[in-house]
Amino acid sequence: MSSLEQEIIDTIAAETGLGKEELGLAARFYDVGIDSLSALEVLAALEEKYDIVMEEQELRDTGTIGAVVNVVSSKIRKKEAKA
Amino acid sequence: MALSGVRVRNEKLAKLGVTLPQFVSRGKVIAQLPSLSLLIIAAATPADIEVEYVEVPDVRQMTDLKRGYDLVAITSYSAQIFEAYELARRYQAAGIPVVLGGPHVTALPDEAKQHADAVAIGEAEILWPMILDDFRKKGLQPVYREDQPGSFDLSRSAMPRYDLLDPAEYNRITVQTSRGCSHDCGFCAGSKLFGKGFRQKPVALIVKEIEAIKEKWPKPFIEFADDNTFVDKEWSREFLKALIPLEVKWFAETDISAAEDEELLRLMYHSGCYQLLIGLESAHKDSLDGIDAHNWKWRQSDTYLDAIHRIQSKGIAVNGCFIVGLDGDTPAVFREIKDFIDRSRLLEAQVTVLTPYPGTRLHQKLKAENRLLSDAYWDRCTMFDINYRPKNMSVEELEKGLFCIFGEIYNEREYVKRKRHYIDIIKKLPKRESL
Repeated sequence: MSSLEQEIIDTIAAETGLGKEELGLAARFYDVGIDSLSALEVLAALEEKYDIVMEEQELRDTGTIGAVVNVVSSKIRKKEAKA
Repeated sequence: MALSGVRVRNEKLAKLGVTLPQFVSRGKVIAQLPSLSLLIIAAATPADIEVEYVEVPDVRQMTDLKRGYDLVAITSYSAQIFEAYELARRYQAAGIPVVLGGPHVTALPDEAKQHADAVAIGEAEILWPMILDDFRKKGLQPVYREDQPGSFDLSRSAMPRYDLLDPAEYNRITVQTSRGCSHDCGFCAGSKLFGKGFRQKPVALIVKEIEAIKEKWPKPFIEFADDNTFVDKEWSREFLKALIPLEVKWFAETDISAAEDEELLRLMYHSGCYQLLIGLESAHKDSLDGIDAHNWKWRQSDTYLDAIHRIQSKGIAVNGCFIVGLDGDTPAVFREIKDFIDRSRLLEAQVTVLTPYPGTRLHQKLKAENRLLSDAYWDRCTMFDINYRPKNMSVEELEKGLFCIFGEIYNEREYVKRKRHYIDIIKKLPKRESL
């Protein structure tokens, strides 16, 4: 796992109060006790922290923790590449 | 024992439902809520009597009857009442006496008592100790009735027996803060059970209940199991301030007047409110005429869009509830609801069919007008099955409209659009004080 991906996991852990070890990449939010509304708050926090905006199609691909990490890290890298 | 789970009899609708993500997720949440009435009954049971909490998802699949009981109490809503009667029959056949209670039994005690040794008509706190006392004396009576519906003083509420629940089985825990609702809607089955008044539990008692829940579930999601939690704004502010240090997430059902009070909304957000479920009932104003005793919802309807915006802008998602098949509805109502959802940007919406529950004014009216499709349709009181002839459309048009709107609002594409809007709102908000 890259340092960026680890940082995203850390952010999700801080937002949800869950331990980092609970946030397995294959786990769905619901599986680790994050309901759909709390998941939206996590996504909002990630967008705000990294100044990114997930497109509607990307929001569809955020079913698991790993998928969120992929979408967010990909957006950050694209943003950094443009800068 | 409680019959648990969500029922839909219409096969086409049931098949459609399992393919719609939003429909499925709320159904799962409801199915996983514990039966608070059983926990209250257990709390009203003297300490020298052992109790067991049992949920029965499907009586037909229950091959082995759990035995070893002296007495079985069963609670059920109308949709599962025939299953409850079947369960009662099986226990009676095994020589174990059965007591039936709950909203359906309270509405139709004469029907229910044919399937039980005793029926409880009213609130458990008052009736259950009397039932147990008579049972111990071998003098169980066929009928136990609360003299005045809704007479139990909630300040005397015992701690519901949350300790009986397996923490691994439940992800949302129900807490009751009040009983009754001031609006007295004609379709509401709750007012029959809880009377017409509105009663609240003292804040200190609710805090104790949540603290007890936190001993088993350190980070609980609380579902306030009230008909209308925030009727009394002064009590609400006191309650929400007491909730903040408890650090819980919560959901409640209330009316649109919550939007009028900025301080209340701020306290809701900071105390961990993630969603309010609000009975808007219709996007078509004429359909609201006469829906509640004081025509309150009809008078509020012009404020709906602005009110939803005000609530959601404070970081509280609104689940707007609509009933289709009201007497003012024509087939055009489905388009009106879809347009309203689009304009209001409700994060979530719930569309159900007008359901004439036994004991309600709606049931009396439709029966008097000879509009009910059958007599004892209780297993179809699912809020998705149609049990009457609508006034301004056919049964087929109502069913077709329901299919269409389900497909339109519960699909992933539409939900993602609403999510996108909601994320834009909440990412600008301060961190909740309860986190």
